[in-house]
Amino acid sequence: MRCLIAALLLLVLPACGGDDDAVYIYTSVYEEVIKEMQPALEERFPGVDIRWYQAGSEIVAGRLSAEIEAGRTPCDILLTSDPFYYAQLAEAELLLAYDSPAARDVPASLRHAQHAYATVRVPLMVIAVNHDRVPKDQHPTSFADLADPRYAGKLTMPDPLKSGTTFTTVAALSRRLGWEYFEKLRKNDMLSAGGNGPTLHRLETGERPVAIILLENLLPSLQRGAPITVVYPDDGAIPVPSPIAILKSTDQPELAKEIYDFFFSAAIQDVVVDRFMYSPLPTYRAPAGAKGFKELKVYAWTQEALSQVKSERDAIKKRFRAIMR
Amino acid sequence: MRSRARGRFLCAVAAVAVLGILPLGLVISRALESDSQLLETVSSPEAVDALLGTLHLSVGTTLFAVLLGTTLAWLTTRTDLPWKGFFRSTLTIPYIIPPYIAAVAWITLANPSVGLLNQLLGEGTLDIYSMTGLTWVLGLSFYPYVYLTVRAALESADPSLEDAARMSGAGTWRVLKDVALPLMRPAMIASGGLVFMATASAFGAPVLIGNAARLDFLSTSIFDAYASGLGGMATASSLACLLFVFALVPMLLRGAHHAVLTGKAARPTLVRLGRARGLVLTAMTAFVLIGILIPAAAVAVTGFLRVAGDLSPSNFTLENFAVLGEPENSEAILTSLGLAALAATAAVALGGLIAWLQVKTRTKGRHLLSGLAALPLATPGTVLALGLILVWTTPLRLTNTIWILLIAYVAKYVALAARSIGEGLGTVDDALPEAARVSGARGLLLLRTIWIPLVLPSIVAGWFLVFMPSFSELTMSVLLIGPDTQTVGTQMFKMRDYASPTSASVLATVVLALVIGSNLLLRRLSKGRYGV
Repeated sequence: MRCLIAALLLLVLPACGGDDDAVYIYTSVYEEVIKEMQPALEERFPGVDIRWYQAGSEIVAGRLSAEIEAGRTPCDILLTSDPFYYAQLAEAELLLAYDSPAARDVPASLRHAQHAYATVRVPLMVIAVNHDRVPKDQHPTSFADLADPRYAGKLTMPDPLKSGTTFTTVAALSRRLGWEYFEKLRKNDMLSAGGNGPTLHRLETGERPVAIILLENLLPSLQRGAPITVVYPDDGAIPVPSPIAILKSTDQPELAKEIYDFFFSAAIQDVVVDRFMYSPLPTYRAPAGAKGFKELKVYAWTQEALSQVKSERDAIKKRFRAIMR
Repeated sequence: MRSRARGRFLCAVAAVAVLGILPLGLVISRALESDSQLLETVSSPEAVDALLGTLHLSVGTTLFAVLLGTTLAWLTTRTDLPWKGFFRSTLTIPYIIPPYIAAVAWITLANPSVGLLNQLLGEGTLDIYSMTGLTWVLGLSFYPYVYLTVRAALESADPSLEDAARMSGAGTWRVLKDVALPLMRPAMIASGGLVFMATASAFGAPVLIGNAARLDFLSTSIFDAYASGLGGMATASSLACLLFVFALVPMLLRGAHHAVLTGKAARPTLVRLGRARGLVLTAMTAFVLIGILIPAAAVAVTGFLRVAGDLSPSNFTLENFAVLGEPENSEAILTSLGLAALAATAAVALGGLIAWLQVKTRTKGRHLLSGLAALPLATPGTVLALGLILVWTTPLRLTNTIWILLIAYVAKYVALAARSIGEGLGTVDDALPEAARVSGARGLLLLRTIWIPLVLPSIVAGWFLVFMPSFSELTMSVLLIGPDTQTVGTQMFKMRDYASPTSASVLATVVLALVIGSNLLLRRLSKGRYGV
């Protein structure tokens, strides 16, 4: 009996403490990236308890939405890579408007007009080929090429239900090439599963030697000596403007704003570029081993496209899932 | 005395109700909140696909596991197969290996293009990304349920029945069909039901293999609905009701449960395998190699490769093991160790109380209590986890803390501790505590001097039986973890599914070492009575 009471107390007591002082950042950036950002944050904000929740953007979005629905989220700052989710949150007035002086150099097209969020890093979605298994002369040169039957059984990409960069890519490609494009990829037995990590694994092992995948996963793999060729598609690589935003429900808005500013400082932007993403700040260098952003052919997001994808977010996921199953 | 037992009984009922019954009730009431939503969800083409997928997988896996487990049990108890001791201890290893690790192993071995086995057999020979592949993986993970149950049944069944049949002129085949098989049947049905439930509830392996095979199941659809925000809690709880009902089917079918004939553990006359002996031995060895040892090796090897899939010697490295030094991984291991130890201790306390009420008192409703305590074990983890989220949001908010994980593990596995301790208590003659009481021992002294020493082995066993599955738990944890916690299971799943499959293999190697190690320890401590 006494044991039982003690056990119950043990359960209840720690929960009463809570961690209201901590600043929670929900993010999709990889653990290695967090680990490089954390020391900079600790140096700039000594004594502030910064905690990270890390998962694929769409999983983060699922958790955040569930928490908001349940009445409360610990999340103070959101740092993921599905810009359309931010647009939805802004529309629902869940984000704190903040016209950060630090973000003013970010091109206006990469910022929310009412200052609910701004792009803080730009991952790039490209094509990659395992050249041990696909000879050079058979490499694709564009996204459209992947619909060619000769790539049957060779294709892989991450799952847009998990990865926000992939969701953005699916949204862009479905607008540019139509849903028939994905139906053709499905005919080619496209394997879409997990995040970019497992996609790289399938590419490296040659299980699926042709991939739609993030540049930031490929460049470190090249450094390890993997037999991989990066293809910058002729019809435009997909840049994924990945924002940062402050939740309106935060209990430390001033601190959150300072952290928000800090993400546009050299300390963090250097990490962004070192970890093979492009910086949204026009003066920044390109990641090592990557083409300069200006030399790239990229998909250009229009305001119209952005607002349309925002309202069709669930429909796009469901349509993709239905085609790929 | 009577009223104190009553008070303890009420405490136990309250604990069991809050832990396991309330969550179930809330999931069902959430799903029934709007009838049209429930009907619409469960009749949608996606839900029907998922239900059929789960049905197909569960039936297939159950048949495979029953066939395999029964054959192995018969061969290792009733025949003159050599190296029986070796086989008896090796064949049970998959029991303690989480199925999602087995799935990772088989993806490495048998993915159609570059699976290691396919590199030997020719590209595309084996395809793990298929219903058959998934059935194979889960069957190999779950057959020990059948093997252990049927083996126990055969060992306790009176061999003189078979001897009598043999002496009356029946051949080996007749004896097997008309005597041994009926003896094994209740055990086959009971353990087959367990396999069915375990398969329907499985999450990790169906995600890892099913996603690539374009297969949907109820458990994975519930996760997608809740975690990826496709429909949210409303859709998830409707699907959860469907899965719950589905998993209960075997429990209802088990109504026709007849007693296993028990007799003295006489030495049975062993069936001579004769000329087939070498053949059977080869087959058994091949099975142990292919089904158990090679997959375990495949997991470990992947952890040592610099570039995945390249087996040339220069590509081997220890660098990947550096991930164990990364705080998120070491913290995940420590969190899981701590949670599993706490859960095991709490489950032993509560399970001990339940077992004591069941075995040593005549309190009204004690059988019902044991039944209720066992319900969460039979409930798919996905369903229980959703229910716990609903229970622990208001007024007491434990969601997003590690305590909800602790509650989940205790709720799910308390029945394992109760069963183990109940068996131990059953062997204690009432005369001993009576004698102590007459000599004036009361309360804690009685507990310390009589009960604990006599029941200790079964308490220790119960502790480990809760500790091991809690340590590597994935299905519930993946839904329940807070923003700044990871467990071993969720960390491994995240790395496998999102960030770095190679690091996942490193962690899997550590988990394998830990569970196999603690199982050996358990066997050593209990002198072979417990552990598998």
